[in-house]
Amino acid sequence: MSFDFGAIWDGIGFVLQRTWWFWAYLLVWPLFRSTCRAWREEVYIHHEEINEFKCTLFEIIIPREINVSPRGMEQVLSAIHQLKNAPGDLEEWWIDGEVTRWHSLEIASMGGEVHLYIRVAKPECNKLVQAAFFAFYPDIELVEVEDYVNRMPKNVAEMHAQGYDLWGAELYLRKEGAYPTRTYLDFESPDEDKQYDPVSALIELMAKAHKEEIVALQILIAPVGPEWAHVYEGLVKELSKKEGEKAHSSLTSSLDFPGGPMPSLAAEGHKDELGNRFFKSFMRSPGETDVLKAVEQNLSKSAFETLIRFVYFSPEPLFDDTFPRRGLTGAFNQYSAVDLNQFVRNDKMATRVKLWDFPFILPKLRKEYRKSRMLYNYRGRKMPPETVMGKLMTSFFMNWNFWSKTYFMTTQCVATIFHPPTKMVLTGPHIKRMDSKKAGPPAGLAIFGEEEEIERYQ
Amino acid sequence: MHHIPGYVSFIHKIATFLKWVGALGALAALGAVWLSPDTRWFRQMGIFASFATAFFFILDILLLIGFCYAFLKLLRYRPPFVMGKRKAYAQKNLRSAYFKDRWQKLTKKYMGVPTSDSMRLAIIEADALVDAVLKDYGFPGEHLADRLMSFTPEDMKSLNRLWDAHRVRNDIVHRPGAGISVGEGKKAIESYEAFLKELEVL
Repeated sequence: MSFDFGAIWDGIGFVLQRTWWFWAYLLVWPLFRSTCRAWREEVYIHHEEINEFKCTLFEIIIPREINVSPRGMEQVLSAIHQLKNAPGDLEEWWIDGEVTRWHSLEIASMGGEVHLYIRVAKPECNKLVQAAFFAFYPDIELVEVEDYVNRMPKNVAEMHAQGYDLWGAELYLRKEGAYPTRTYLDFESPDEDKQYDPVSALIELMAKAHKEEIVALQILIAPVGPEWAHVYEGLVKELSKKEGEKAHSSLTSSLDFPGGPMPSLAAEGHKDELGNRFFKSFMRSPGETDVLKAVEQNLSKSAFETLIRFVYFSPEPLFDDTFPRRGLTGAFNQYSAVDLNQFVRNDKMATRVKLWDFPFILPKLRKEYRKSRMLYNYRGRKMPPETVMGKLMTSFFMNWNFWSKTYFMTTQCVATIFHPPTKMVLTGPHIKRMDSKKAGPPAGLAIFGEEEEIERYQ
Repeated sequence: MHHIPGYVSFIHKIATFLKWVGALGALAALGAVWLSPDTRWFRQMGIFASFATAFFFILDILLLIGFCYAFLKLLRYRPPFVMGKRKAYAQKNLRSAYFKDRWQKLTKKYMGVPTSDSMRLAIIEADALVDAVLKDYGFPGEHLADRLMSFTPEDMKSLNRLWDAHRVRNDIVHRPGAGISVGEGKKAIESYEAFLKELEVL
């Protein structure tokens, strides 16, 4: 049988000639959608005067002793979670370019003096955040302060002119966000000798910075709706399957066409040597049960889209990247549970490039680019752009902006890594504290003054 | 628990891939034959085809214009990276000009007619100047001696001479009535100068 390939090509050419407008549409539409959305998003993020993405930085000033466990912070975060916004209609999506505003929890050490900050993304929300904090931490004070990132150099050129150098990295989760990291519950115990506050390791470490150094850490949190848990329904199903019906068992049958429309290569599953499948099907190891339990519990909480980023500035003679690279990642290693989840350094964002890393050229230049991006991202508290065009347009030939990763973390996990240090932490030498106890005036006390003045003291 | 060896699943994946490619290829071939000019089904569509063509043509043009516009607007939001050169210890900036100026004033003031008294003052000031330079570069410590701990003689050839000069200075400051000869003073000042030159301030 002869088969005329020429006729096929002619046919394809004919169809293309007549229907090119449709294929062109399929190409141009996503291009337009992505670019337009990226542009409006940038406008929304950068032009606070139009769009109210205006942030206020509060310093969290702690009292001498805090008796509230991190559970208090979880409640505060749940309250903050309710300040969620999202594009609701076409106008908000296309014209305003609305994105979910993200807040930021920050710890910064300025020459060994540690400060805690919270950055609230909408001025109207300031009071709500304050109220949430005061409800659970009555002795805490939130003071609006000037942004400390102004102490950092504006760009890499300025940094080198000052004789400073930078090390920075991002952290991400090794597995999906459905798996929790270790939470504060794992560090609590009824026995007082066995209680720990994991934040102490971070604070102690940051307090070790030299007088000339700055170490800073930011945890960006953008609330996500309750639908985040639905993403992982399949995972829970998979985890709750009993032994013997796990995914690979589908290979044993050649009738259900596992991989395509044609009969499969027969790959028989190995029969159990003892043949007691019946017994095994009811078995799930204790570890597996624990994982399932932890995942389900984690999925029952509200979550944030999270990004953890840290930078370390030091004068070049003092510069020692072991301090942030090993130390800070080490402090986060406390939260890792290998069967569940753990923090991993995002090496594609870290300011360490060697000749052996892809694309194998100009490692020094690429390192400088990474430093620039890290500094720019840290100062601006940048989340990675949502759209492909947004990522592409913020890329450079030597530094593509596709590697920054966000992930889901629940209020519980975030509260574990960031909370006002409890009384277990030795804060005295490292953190500026409030020395007096606070108490409000008796209720119903007569106050004289104009409405405005009274509002100031509320 | 049964385990499927890695190579089996690998072979399985390749087989699956080949099957899909085969099936889709056959489908494409059939479709192409069916759509070939001999069939000419497409020409039967008449008015609908021309309307759709016009509609999509205009839509495509509009989307393309919109894309170009948004693209140009988006260019403004590229991150402004400004790279600089690493300059390890030496910084040729305004401040090093300032230190240079201070040094020249110092030498002019005290070294013109060197006496024992002027040498004493010159040494004290030169020591303060070196301290200020190191402080500016960010070397940690409270006094010059602390800052000098960051160096080793391998880093700086003039380090040992500087230590000697610094000891002379401490002697002058802390021991009442300590005087030095003009020769000793000149030697100390030259040590400070050598150190500053090695730091590339002068």
